[in-house]
Amino acid sequence: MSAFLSVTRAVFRRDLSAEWRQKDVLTTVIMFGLLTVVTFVFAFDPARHAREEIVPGCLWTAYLFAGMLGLGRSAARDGQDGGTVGLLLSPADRGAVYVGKFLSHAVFMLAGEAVVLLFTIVWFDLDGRHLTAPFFLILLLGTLGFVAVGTVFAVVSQKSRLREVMLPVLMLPILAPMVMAAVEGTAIVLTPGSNEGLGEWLKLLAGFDLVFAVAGFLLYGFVLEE
Amino acid sequence: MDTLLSARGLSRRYGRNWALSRVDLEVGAGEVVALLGANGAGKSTLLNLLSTLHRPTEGTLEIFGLDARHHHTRIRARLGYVAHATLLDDGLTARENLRYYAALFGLTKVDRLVDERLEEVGLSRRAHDRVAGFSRGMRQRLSLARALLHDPELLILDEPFTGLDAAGCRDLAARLEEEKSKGRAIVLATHQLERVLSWSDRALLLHRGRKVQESGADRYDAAGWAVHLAEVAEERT
Repeated sequence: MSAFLSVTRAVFRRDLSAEWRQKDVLTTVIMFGLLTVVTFVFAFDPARHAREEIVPGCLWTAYLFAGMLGLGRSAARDGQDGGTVGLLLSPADRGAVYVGKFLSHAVFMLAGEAVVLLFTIVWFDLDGRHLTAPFFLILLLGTLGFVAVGTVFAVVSQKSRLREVMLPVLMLPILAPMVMAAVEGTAIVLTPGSNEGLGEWLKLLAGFDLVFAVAGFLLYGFVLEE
Repeated sequence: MDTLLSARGLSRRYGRNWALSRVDLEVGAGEVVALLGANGAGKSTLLNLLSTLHRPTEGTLEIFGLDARHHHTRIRARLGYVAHATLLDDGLTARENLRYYAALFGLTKVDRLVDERLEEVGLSRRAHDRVAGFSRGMRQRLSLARALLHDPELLILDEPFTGLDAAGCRDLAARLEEEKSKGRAIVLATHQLERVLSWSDRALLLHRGRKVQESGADRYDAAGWAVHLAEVAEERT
């Protein structure tokens, strides 16, 4: 167990240290996320549309596409100068590597999402009272599901000639239930009044996370080797 | 001499092309085998198979007495690999890179080990500098330190001199020769014949994926091997 944790910690620390100095994943996520939100602000005038109808789609579109770019950037950095080969040539437990990468990706995503959310609140003039625990729970569960899938597919896409194009092509169909649950759940918590149906979406998100985290854990080694 | 590596009829196909065809090779403990051949001869393919990065399409490969198809994780724990790509993270310092690999290999007493390896390759004073600021020669020395971190019994080197200046080549060759004197087995591919043949035990000549000759490395000097390589290529084209 301690060997497992040691590998997980090493991968997590390495990713965070490299990102702290280079800031390329976080910058990618934040910049693309903000651009998406700005586009929504111009496309749907917040003064004339109900925010609860626009903001969920805007937020998750921003998170999804910015996140995919960020994951692609992270995988590209891993592969730089043969880094993936180095990982492959080590006897390290692949599940431990997956957990380490999952955690670092989750940190990058959540940090980027926090910045994008702040600007979304300002630009859409969102009422802070709607940002309750269920809102953040949806954000967390949606992000973890995204990262669980993305950590595996980022490796697959790096092995493909098409790379950045391949990642959304592979991920989006699989993420469909998660996106649906995240958008619907966010819309419910941003709508004043009842939270009816929220529980079902939260269950779907939690189930999605569990299934894909376990699948990622089991498949990561295979994906890395092949 | 114990056999560390035994390959029989090793072949590898990529799509419809056979990059390597029916190669036999044995490497004993402490032995240095130089793979020679023109670009596309199959040297890197053979090294990728020996390092367990790729699986053979046909043939058998045993390393440390273990079947490479089924026990690659155990084999990898005992071999070191250096190539043109350094396998290092530019965003980390030299020390952080080695600590990272030490954790991946499950090593203990990491601080002392890392200090020793950095000292051996002459990078102690740059331990806390980011690899991004290193010269090609320094990167390759650090890459060697990375490969030696877990004290592997077998070193696999794929064009380790590429991109190094004369001084860098000389330093790296001296370091490798030192590793040989410690009893480490080495299989390497390089075009820098003059750097390695003087301390190699055997030379294996590949041409278009086939082994065409295996002999003592001292059969020719570096210039003689270069002429011989050209003759073999001309004969078989």
